[in-house]
Amino acid sequence: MKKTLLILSLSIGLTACGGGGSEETKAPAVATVSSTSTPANNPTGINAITVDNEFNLSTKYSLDVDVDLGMGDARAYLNVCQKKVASQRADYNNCIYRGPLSNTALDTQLVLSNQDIELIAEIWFYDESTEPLLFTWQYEPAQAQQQFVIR
Amino acid sequence: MKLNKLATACLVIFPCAVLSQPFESCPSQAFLMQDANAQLYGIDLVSAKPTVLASQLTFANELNTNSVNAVGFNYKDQYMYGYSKQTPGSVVQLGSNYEMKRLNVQGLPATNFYVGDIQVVGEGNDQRATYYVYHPNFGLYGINLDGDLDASITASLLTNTNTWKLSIYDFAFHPASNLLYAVEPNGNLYEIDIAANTHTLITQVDVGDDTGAFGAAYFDVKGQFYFSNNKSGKIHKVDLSVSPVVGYTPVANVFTSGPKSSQNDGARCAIAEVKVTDSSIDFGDAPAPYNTSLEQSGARHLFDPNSTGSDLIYLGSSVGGENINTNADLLLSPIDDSDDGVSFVTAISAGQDSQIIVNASTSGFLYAWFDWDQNGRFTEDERMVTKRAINEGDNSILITVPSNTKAGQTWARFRVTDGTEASLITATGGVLGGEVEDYEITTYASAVYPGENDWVTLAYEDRWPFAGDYDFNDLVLNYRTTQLMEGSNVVGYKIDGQLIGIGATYHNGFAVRLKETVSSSTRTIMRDEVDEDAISFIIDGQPQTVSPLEAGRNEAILIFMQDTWAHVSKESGCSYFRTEDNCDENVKVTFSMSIPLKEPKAKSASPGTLLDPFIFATNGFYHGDFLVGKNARGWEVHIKNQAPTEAFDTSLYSVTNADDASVQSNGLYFLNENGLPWAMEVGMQWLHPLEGVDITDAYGSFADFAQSSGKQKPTWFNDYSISNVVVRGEQ
Repeated sequence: MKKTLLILSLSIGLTACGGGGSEETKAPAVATVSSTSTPANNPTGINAITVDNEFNLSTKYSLDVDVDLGMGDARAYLNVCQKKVASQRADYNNCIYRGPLSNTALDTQLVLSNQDIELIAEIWFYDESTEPLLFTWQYEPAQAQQQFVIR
Repeated sequence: MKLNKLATACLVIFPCAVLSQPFESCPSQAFLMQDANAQLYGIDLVSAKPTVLASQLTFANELNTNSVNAVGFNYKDQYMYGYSKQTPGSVVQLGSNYEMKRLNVQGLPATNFYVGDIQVVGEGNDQRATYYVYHPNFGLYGINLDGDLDASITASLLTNTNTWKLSIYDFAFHPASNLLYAVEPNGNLYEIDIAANTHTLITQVDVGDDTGAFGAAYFDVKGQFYFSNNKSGKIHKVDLSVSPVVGYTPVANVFTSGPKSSQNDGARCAIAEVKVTDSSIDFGDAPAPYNTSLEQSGARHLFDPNSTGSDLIYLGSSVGGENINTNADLLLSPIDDSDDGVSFVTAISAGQDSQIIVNASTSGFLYAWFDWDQNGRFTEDERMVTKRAINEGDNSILITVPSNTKAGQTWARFRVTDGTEASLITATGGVLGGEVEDYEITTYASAVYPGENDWVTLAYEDRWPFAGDYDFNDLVLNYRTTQLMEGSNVVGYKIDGQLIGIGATYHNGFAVRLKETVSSSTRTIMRDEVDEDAISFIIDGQPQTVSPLEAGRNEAILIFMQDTWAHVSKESGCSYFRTEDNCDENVKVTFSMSIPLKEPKAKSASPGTLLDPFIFATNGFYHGDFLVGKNARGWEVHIKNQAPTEAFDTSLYSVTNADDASVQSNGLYFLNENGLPWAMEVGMQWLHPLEGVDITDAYGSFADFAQSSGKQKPTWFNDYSISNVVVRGEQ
C-alpha cells in the first residue's frame, strides 16, 4: 500500500511521504521525475496553493463575555457551555467556562475553536430553584469581535 | 419450577417415584437456601437478581417442612448436599428436581449442622469428593462421597477441631487451593487447612454496618470469595485469588445487595465463573482505583430487573448497559454516555454549599458519594446524599462541601434506586433496578479549550525542514486544555489528549510547553513555577511515575511521550497506526495530565487556550540524514509561527536544500516559501487523511480556506471525502 502510494506520488511530481516508508531518500520539494501528463513544474494539491505567512490555519477566535445582572452581591455562578443537542439547555458535559460572578458581573474573554459552536450560558443562585437564568449565543459573521452580552 | 410441580403432584397421587437427577452442568448462579421451611433461590451474583428455584422441597415420600442447611455443591457428581433438620436429621443429596434423598451417615453427633461445603480434589478418574460439616460444639466432620451413596457412610471427626469454637455460619472451599474460608459476624476471616488441621485468623475485613451471621459463602473459579449477611442481604466479596493468603491483606467490598433472611445457607459450583455476558447491567465509569468493574465489586444496576422495558428508574435521558468485567474492560470503554442526569451548576468550594441539579426519569431514591480527600475511594463518610426521595424531572439538591475538602479534581458517584433495598446501599456492589452515574468534578472554576467534551485535533508532518506529503497524519492527536482558576488567578492546568494516528516511520515524541502568544505578547509558565511533585499524569489509565516536566529547562515543558511509537503496536498487515484503511480503527492512546502551579498566577499573565503543543525527534532513532550525529531532542516542529523551545537546535534552520522558510526576526517559523505549515490545529475532532492522501484531496474546501486566510470556508473540516479519511471507529 505504502509503496504503491510512494511510487504514485513521485510519478505525479510530488515529494515522498512524510517520515514514512523508504523516505530515507531526501526528496526535494519539487521532484524532477515526471512520467504523466502533469507538467513537472505545475504543482498540484496543496503545493498549488499559497498561504499568507501570518495565517497559521487555525479557526479559533476570541469571544468577549460581558455579564452584568445588576443584582447586587447575590451569590451566583456562571456556566458557559455548548448547547445540548435538540434542547435549549446547556450541555454540562461540555462547558467552556465555569466560574463565579462577582457582584453578579463578569468580564472575560474566551477562545472558541470554530464557528459552528453554539453556546448557552446558565446562571444559578445556590438555591432550591431548578430553573437558571438562561442566555444563548452563536457566531455572528458580521461582527469583527464576537460578543456574548448577558444582562 | 416445572419439575418441582411435578414432584408435588406425585406426592398428591401417591405413590409415584421421581428419580433425582443431577444438575445439568456447573451453574454460574449461586444457590441460596432460605427460611424455616426451606426454599431454594438462585442468585445471579452479577446482578443480585434472585430467582425462586423451588418454593417447596420434597423427599421421595413426604414434603419437606424444615430447614436445610450446610449446603454445598459437588461438582464431581453435580449434586447439592446439605443437612436436613427434618426428623430424622440427616445428610441429604439434592438433585435438579429439588427432591432430597437421605444418606445413611453414621458417626455424626445429634445436632443440626448449619456449616458445610464440599471439597473436590484431583482430576478425571482420580477426582474425590468429601462433604465437610462443622459445628462449634462438636468440630469438623468429613463424609466421603466417592463410594456407594446408598450404603452406610461413616463420618470422621478431624482431631481437636471441636476446640476451635469458630462463630461461623457457613464456609466455602477455594477451587484451586482447596483451603476453607469463613467469616465471623465481626468480619474475622479464617483460613482452614484440613490436611494440616489448622485454622488461621487472616484479618478482620470491613463488613460495614453488617452484624450477625454471614450464613452463605461461595467461591468462583477465579478465587473470589463471597459471603452474605442474613440481616442485610448484602453479599460481600474478597479477592482470595492468591491462596493461601501470604504477603497481602485481603479487603472486602459489598458485591451485591441480595435477599435477606433469617435462615440462610449458600452453595455454588466453585469452578463456575462470575461474569457479565450481556448489556443488561449499568456500570459506573469512574476509573480505577475506584471500584467500578465487576472484579472490583463495582457499583452496578440491573436496570430493567423485570425485563419489561418500562417504568425504569434512572437519571437523565437514558440508561444503558455495559460489559465491564475487569479494569481492562473499563479502559476500553471509559465513558458511559448514559451518565447524563446530574448537573453541577455551581462551584464546589470547601466549606460552602454547592447546588446540583438531578434529573430523574420517575420518582426514586438518590444516594451520592464525593471523594473529597481524593484517595480514589468512595467511603461511607463521603456519602453526601442518603436515600433522598427525588421526583420525576429536575431536583435541586444543595450539598455542604466539607471545609477540609482537598482542592482539585475528583470523582462523585450517584446511584438511584426504587427504595426497596433492605439496607442502605454502598458505593460498590450490584443493586436490582436503578442506575449508577459517575462524574469527574473539579473544585475550581475553569476555562476549557475547546470544551470539556470536545477536542481540537493536532496534525503534524515530520519531515521538517523538508516538505512532507501533506497528508497531515505523521502524528495526529486529539487535544484539550483546561485552566483551573481561583478568583482571577490560574492555579493549574489540565491537558487531555488522545493519540489517534501515526503515519510515519520516524520516531517522534509529543510535548507541550506552557506558553501562549497573544497579540504578539507571550505568556509563559516557567519551570520553577510548576509544583512538579504534585503533577498527576495518566496514560491509558496507568499512572506514570517518571516526572513529565523536562529537566534542565527554564520554561515549563511537559513531555507526554518520548516516543509515540512506544505506546502503540501496529495491527498485523498495517504499516502504520490508524492511517490506513482497516488499521487499528478502534484503538487510541488516551492521556491526561494535571499540572498544579506552586503559586496562583494572574490570569492575564498566564498562557491558555492551545498552549504550545509540539513534536520532537526521539533520541536513538534515525530521523533523516541531516540529524545524524546531532541531539535528536533539538529537532522540533511547532504550529506555524510558534517559535521553538530553548531545546531547539537552531543550526537546523540552515540545513542544505531544505524547504523551511522560517525568518526568526519576523516571527515566522515552521513554514515553507508558500506559507504552508508542518503542523496544524484543526478546530474540532478531525478525521485525518489516509496515508499519502493530500489534504486538499481529502478536504475539498481546505484550499479556499487556506488561501483566503480563513475568510472563506471557515468550517472546511466538515467537507470531506469519506474514502480519503480515516474513519473514527469506536473512539
